[in-house]
Amino acid sequence: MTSLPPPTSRKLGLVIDLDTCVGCHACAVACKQWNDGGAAGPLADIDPQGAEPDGVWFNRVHSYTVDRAAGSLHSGSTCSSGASHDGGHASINATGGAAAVNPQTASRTPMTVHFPRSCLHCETPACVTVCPTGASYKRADDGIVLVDAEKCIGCQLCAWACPYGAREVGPVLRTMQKCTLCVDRIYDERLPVREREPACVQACPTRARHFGDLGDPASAVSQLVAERGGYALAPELGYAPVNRYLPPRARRDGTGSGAAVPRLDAASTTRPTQDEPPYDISSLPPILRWLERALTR
Amino acid sequence: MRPAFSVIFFSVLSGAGYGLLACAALAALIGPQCVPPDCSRTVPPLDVQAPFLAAVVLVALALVIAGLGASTTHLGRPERAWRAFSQWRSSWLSREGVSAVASLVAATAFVALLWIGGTGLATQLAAVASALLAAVTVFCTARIYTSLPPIPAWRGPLVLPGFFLFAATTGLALWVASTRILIGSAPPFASMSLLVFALAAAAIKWRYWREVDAIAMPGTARMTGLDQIGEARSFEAPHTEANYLTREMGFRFARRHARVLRAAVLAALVAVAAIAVLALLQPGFSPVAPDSPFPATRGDDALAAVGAALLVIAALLSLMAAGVERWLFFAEARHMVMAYYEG
Repeated sequence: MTSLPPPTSRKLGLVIDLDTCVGCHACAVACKQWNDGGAAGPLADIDPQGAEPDGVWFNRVHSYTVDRAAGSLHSGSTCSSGASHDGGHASINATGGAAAVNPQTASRTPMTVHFPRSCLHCETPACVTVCPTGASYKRADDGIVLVDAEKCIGCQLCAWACPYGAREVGPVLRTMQKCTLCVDRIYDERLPVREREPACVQACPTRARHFGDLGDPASAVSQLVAERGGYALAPELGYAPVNRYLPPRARRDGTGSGAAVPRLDAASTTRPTQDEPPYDISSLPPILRWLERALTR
Repeated sequence: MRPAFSVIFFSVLSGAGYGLLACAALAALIGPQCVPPDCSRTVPPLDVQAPFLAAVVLVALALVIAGLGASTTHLGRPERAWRAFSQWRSSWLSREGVSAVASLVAATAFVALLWIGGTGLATQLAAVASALLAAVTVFCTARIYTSLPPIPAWRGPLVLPGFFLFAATTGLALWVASTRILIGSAPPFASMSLLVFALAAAAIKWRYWREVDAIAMPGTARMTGLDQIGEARSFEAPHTEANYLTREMGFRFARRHARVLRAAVLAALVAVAAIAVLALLQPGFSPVAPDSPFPATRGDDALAAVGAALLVIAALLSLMAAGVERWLFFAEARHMVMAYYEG
């Protein structure tokens, strides 16, 4: 059934700390390793050690340089907010963590932010409702969004419907694959209780990933979100993501801020431009290479 | 978005097939009556047209089935395509599949009734059902695209009328060409409709492209929530090679040549409209065989051959315009997920 279940009280999800993530990709690798052999697998690759490897990863870790917006110098007031992580500044502070920096130069010092991207297990996911087969579904008891590999016809409409890029087509299975929140692990009573967490959370060396019930305000993850001003990605799109991201803490030089209300304004949008970056024409299929030459003439 | 040829063939061919089916159904329903502006010509009664209509509906069915066949090649697992009929409660793709099959059933009944010479209520009902289901299917096809929030270019109010106008234009162009070839005369009412729909399609695409060019996509900072700090730009991608997302959503080819291709679409539509005007103004384009049910218009054979050839060219031009338009519809559309990569 691709109609959504009634709102669940349990909302299992991840909280990802952008302050302490060091961009090591251990979450992505651990995820690939676990799920290749798990219920959602195999996550088979084409040409894995060759020139053009291709395959599904449920986690993709981006790395960004963040330039502080001009004139928005913050006082660094969230530095001391009571989060339980040590050493975060030392691990990601691209500015070098200088204790006393001239605000004039500090405002131009960019910040490095590593950004793990995976399924957000949204409360109103369009990827589920557009599915024509019933392969995509949202679990009624814990809100996890899954794909039934036996039913998926590989039409890819769900991937088009996801603004967060959570879904990829397996090049070998030819069906849609996505993060399962390690559903075959978190409920496995043969595992020690401390290991009943998604593989990415277990693997993270800086404890930047947290797993829990975001529907329960008393849970550790909900409290962490409340303390650190955790936010949902692009909530204005209406998908109501369950996962939360914790913003980088303000640097000692004042770079960065706490949780401002996310907004869509002119400064944060892009327009199509005439000067697209160059791209490799030889990578196109032959008919487009011919069309490219014909049209460029 | 990557313009998959399977989906382009599907939507163009099935759109043309449904347009043609609707023309045949309307012709069966309207029956004998005066058609402006030339009241010396009348649409012949249904029993006279029945074999011709049956042939046209068969062509329409062939186009729709070819389109549906092309669409299954877009699937990773085409052998499971039957499952797509199950989720009509929530999915426009599923509704489209159900409606397409229903329209095939109605059109098959329509052609069978015409074949056995039926002119009664059953044939009329089959014609109504065929026309309605053709419209419903085109509507569902368009709604598949308008229901995707991450692709703003497809969310606008001009997408739905665009799909209808191209289905109508290609269907009418095929209808006019087939009436000219099969029964010797292009009905003026159809030629006039073709003129109106071709120009309306051109106008709506012109507006659509202006709107698409003005769309502001959320940038990297917005999609990551880092806009609460400042502007974000990618310095290291998660992977060195292309992946499914960058291939499927990061297609950039069209934007380099959009102006030429858009001009080609508009030029083709204007040419179709011009041929429709010629067909209206030059009755000699449609001289009629002695046994034709249409009232004869005298003209010389050379002029008649030019007229027939022009109407066939108009049909091909309309299909070409629809194909390029549909290719641009995909290739120019930007998906929000690319903000994570392109910043």
